[in-house]
Amino acid sequence: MHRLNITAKIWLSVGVFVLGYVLSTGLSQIQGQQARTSMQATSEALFPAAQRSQEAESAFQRMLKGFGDAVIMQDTSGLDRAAVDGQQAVAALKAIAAIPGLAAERSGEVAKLASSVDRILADARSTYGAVLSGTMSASAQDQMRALASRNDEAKAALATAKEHLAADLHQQLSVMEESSSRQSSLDLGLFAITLVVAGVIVHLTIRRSITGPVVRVIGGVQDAADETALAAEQMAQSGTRVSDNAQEQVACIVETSASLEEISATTRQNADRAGQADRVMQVAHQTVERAVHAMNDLAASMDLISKSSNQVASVLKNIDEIAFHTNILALNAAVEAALAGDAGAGFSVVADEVRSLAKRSAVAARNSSDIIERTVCDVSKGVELVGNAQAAFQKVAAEIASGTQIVSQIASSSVEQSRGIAVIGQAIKRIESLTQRNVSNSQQTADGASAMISQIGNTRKYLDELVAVVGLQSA
Amino acid sequence: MKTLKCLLIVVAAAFGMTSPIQAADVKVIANSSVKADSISADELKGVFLATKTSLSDGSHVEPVLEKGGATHEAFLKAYLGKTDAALNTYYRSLVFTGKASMPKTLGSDAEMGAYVAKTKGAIGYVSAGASPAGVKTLEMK
Repeated sequence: MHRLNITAKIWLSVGVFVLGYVLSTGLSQIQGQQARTSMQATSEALFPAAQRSQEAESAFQRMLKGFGDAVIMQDTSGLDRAAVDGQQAVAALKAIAAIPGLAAERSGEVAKLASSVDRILADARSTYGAVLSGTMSASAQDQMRALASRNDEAKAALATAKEHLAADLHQQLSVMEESSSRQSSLDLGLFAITLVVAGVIVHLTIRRSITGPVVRVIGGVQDAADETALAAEQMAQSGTRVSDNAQEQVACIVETSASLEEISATTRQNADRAGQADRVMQVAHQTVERAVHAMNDLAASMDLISKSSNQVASVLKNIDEIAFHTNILALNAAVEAALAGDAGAGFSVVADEVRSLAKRSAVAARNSSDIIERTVCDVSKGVELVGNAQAAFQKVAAEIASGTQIVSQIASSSVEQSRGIAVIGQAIKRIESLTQRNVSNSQQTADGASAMISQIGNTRKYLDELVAVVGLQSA
Repeated sequence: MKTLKCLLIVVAAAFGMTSPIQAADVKVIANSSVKADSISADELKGVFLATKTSLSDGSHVEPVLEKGGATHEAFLKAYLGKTDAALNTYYRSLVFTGKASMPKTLGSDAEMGAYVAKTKGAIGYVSAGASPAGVKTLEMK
């Protein structure tokens, strides 16, 4: 059932309905056939029997009345007319008895009645004939009384037979009516059941397969429409904001572009200046190299001075040693002079002099040595300073070289920068045009979102119509 | 035919009115077995039209008629309201239907007196002047 699609389900419902209708019609046909058979039996047997019984009764009553009139009015010819009526009654009764479809009991009853009436007719004819032709004797009166009793019996029997036949007819008609009514009820019931089953299937089909999904779809679409409306509104606002932002962005880009041109010009100047600095630095480098050579020469000179000073110091040391030895010799001479006594007095004076000379020489040598040492010291300091200066100059030369290299790199970087800035400028121009397009695109987006909102409004109207069609209350 | 009969009856009634026969001309007699001494007009009519076979006191009665004559006519007119022919037809219809027998009919007041005197329960009538023996005269209430 769940696998069937809506069309199949609807056709199934119609099929059930048609099947019920066909069953009902078929049953009705069968019952109708039975009813026709019963009706035929009724129309061929019971109905003519009932009709004939009425004819017989009325003919019998006419006969009785005829005989009565004839007897009372003493009209002999009335007897013949009454006899004709009696014969009609007998004939009618015999005809009833001869009807083939009638019940045997009823046929027997009617046949008996026919012979009874026949005998009454014969007896009445003779009795009333005798009464009319002669006087009304006591025996004739007795016969008449007996005949009257038989007449009454026959009349009652006729009425009973007529009632029986009518009752049979009525019963048969009742049976037929009941059958017809039952059939009608059955048809109606079957039709109602079919209608109910088909209705239930249609109802369930519509509810499960049409209304339910439609309701779910409506709910989903309504939710989606709400979400979409919200999104579209946000999109519209966002588009407007993007448009405004993009316009600001364009303004910024224009400013940036102007600044960039200025930077480009500055960068070009920087490049030129870096080139100039490079050249200046190269010149400075050569100058420093020359200074370094001069410093090297100065250092060499200082080394030579240092060596000379050392040599002077060693000479002075020799002088000092000589002075020491001289002093010792003077001391020795003094001792010898002392030992020589007076002969050595002069000599001791000379020795003293020599000794003072030696002391003075030693002092002078020491002073000179000190001076030389200081000089050596100073020279070595100068050498050190020259070395430092040389190292400094070499460092300066190296730094200048690296500075030159850096300046050169700066110059080339500035050129590249200038080139890059030019590229950036082109890119910014492209960004500007793209941003302009973005402005127009975001405006189009905002317009589209507004159109979407109005379309969502239309969608909601259609949804409301659909809700009304499905028969739900609008949420 | 019927119209002619009706006409004749009307003419006879008209002549009757010119020479009225009074109830006093007829007296009702009964057998001595009849207990009552008087009878009402309705009872009398019932007895003679065979709708009653006994009186209110329970005594069985049988009507007896004269065959014709002034007394008979006077009785019919005064108490039954029928002509002789109509009464005859009436009785024939009763006989035909088995409800009654034809009533006894007698030729004269004398025969009537004799029959009533000897027949138990018999009720008849004679002219006012007659006085048959052995019968009782019923007074009209």
